[in-house]
Amino acid sequence: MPTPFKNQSGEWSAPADGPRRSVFANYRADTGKQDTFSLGEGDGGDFEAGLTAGAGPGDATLLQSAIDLAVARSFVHRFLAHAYTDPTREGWSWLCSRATWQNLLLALKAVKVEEPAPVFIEDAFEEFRDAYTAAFGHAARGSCPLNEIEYGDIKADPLFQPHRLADLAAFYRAFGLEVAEDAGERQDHISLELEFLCVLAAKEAYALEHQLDSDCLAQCRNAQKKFLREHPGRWLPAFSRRLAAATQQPALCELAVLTRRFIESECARFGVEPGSGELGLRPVDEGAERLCETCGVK
Amino acid sequence: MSNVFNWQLGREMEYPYEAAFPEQQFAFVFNTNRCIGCQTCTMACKSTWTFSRGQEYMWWNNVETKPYGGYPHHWDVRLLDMLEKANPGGQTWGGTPESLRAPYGTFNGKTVFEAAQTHIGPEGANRALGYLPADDEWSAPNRYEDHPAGNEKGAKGEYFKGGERLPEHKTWFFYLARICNHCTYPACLAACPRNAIYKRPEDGIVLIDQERCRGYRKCMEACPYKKTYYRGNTRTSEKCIACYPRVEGRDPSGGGLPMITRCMSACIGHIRLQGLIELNQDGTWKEARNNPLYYLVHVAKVALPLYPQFGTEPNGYYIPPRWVPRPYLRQMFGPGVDEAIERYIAPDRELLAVLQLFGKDERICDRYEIKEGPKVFEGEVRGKKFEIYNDTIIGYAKDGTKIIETTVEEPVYVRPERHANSI
Repeated sequence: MPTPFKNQSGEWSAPADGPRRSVFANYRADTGKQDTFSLGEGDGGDFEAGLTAGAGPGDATLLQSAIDLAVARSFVHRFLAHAYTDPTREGWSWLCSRATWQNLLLALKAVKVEEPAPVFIEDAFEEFRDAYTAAFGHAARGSCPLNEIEYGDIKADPLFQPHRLADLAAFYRAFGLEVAEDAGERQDHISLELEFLCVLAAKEAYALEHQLDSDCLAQCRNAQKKFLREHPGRWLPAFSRRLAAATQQPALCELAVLTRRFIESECARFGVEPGSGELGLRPVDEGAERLCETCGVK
Repeated sequence: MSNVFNWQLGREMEYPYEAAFPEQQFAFVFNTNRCIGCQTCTMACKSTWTFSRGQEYMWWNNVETKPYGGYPHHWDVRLLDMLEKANPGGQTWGGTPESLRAPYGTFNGKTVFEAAQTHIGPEGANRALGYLPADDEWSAPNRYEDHPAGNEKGAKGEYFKGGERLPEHKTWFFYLARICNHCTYPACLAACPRNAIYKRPEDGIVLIDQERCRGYRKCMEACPYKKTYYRGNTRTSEKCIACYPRVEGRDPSGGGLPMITRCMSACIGHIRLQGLIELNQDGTWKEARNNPLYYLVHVAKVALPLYPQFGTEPNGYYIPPRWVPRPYLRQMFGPGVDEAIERYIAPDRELLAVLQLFGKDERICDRYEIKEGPKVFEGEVRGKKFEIYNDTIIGYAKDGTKIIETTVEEPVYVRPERHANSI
């Protein structure tokens, strides 16, 4: 007869294997959870739930919708962050996987973005990587930069670039995050900014799910609003427009459209004015060359 | 509110949900006469389920000294007081006992569900009358341990003369071991605003879904036995899970057979007997003459529910302590107390045999069989003839496996002069 010590495979774990059921009508049968998130019955318009959700069963449905929406937003951010990362085989496999595709469809439905989800094909990795390199180039500065501080008018503020980078780093640090040493990108890279929003939306879902102090939820949403206003909301519309113009590769084109639509919907959700699609690139200014090397002052 | 039938009260009562019953119901009998308050059960549970951070004050199983002890402090005194205030002078029993549907007569008073409707708080009426214990009430789980009550005022330096004589001791206390009663009509389940508590159809075990619970503590407020606990670091409530993996037969040491819980099997006093009961359509117990629990509750009628007047139809039954003043016991176990003690102090042949099943095996005994043996004693107990027959009782698991074979008289073994560790 096996001893309990020999039986460590999970059979002896506490949760029951079968679906949870109750003899009373109070407890709806568990239909099983999806891997990443499940969409509630709400239509995604329950964004304001959570701060006011109380103890009633009706509130519970509203609360669940708010949680589902936050999880869905987090997933779209995560998807876009992955898509704009320097292409690797591993990342490509994730983007092409059926689970990712299905989750993206569910998430887009939840966030009410009706753009078709970009189609990534397993065999098209080389084609995508070449198009990616052609569109974004090898340096930070190209026709369609992936870095935020290449966008905007530097003449308005001689310390524009270091300020932006410091602000981004402060945002990350305030939420206990640091750029990984092997990330190989600056704080203003599109993937990092989107990944940060992915984390904030996930934190929001966690705060709702665990009924944390309403301050936690408010801070989480406030940070997203500020970050969106100061950073991605300001430059991603212009980035998307440039990308759409810079490439013919279908996945990249679809990605550009999706990025623009999603960021605009996020701005609308948080009441932020999105930046202009016409936002220019920082001009190559010879004057900048003459700035003091240490403090940037002329 | 729906009308549901509560056989322990011998009448219909109100409950927020329609009556529905599991295929089998987890139930147990504790013999308080045998409990020595060693807390082995408490520690067996603690070391199995509640040893983690945030569970320090959580005692799914506890043993309290009655009448003063209680965890949380004075839980029963407080609730009885609330019920009395909600229905002054009305918490009484009456009617004629009937088998199965009203074995203790009829309860005339109000249950926690009925009293809640006239007890309107600032937030309106709750689904069950209750209170939320304050933090300090959850401290000192063994407060008043071994603290006796006296019926007379004593003299300094003197014991009561004849205070130890039955039928009632003049100085008395007893140990009350408690776990969740996995009630047929759970108040915790009724009160949960998130519908996070469920009663399993397969065995009637009541569980809190940790994914749905948000720690509102309405269950803690509503459970009259105060057997749900809030965990601060997870912000959810937790409760006794009746060691359900064992009841499901998933403990490898049971060879696939349903097993009794950890607290039951660890009991060194053999005070505990656990079983699974089959129910009729109306929630009464399906006749199973040779099921040990059915026999103790419905045939011998020595095991009684704990505070049946609360109305949750608890599935924990107690053989009341024979030395304790009866009014106290009637309040705690209902009107069946006198008859139960009479039968217990001079048990008949079958009862004496069934009492041997307690704590004999870790697998659940579903059916017993008695092989008659010779008479070994004849005497008198409080004026009643009392005989002991050395019968053999055999216990079987649900699938017919023989799991227990024991005699009424403990066998005597004489150690040989030279034995394993002789010098």
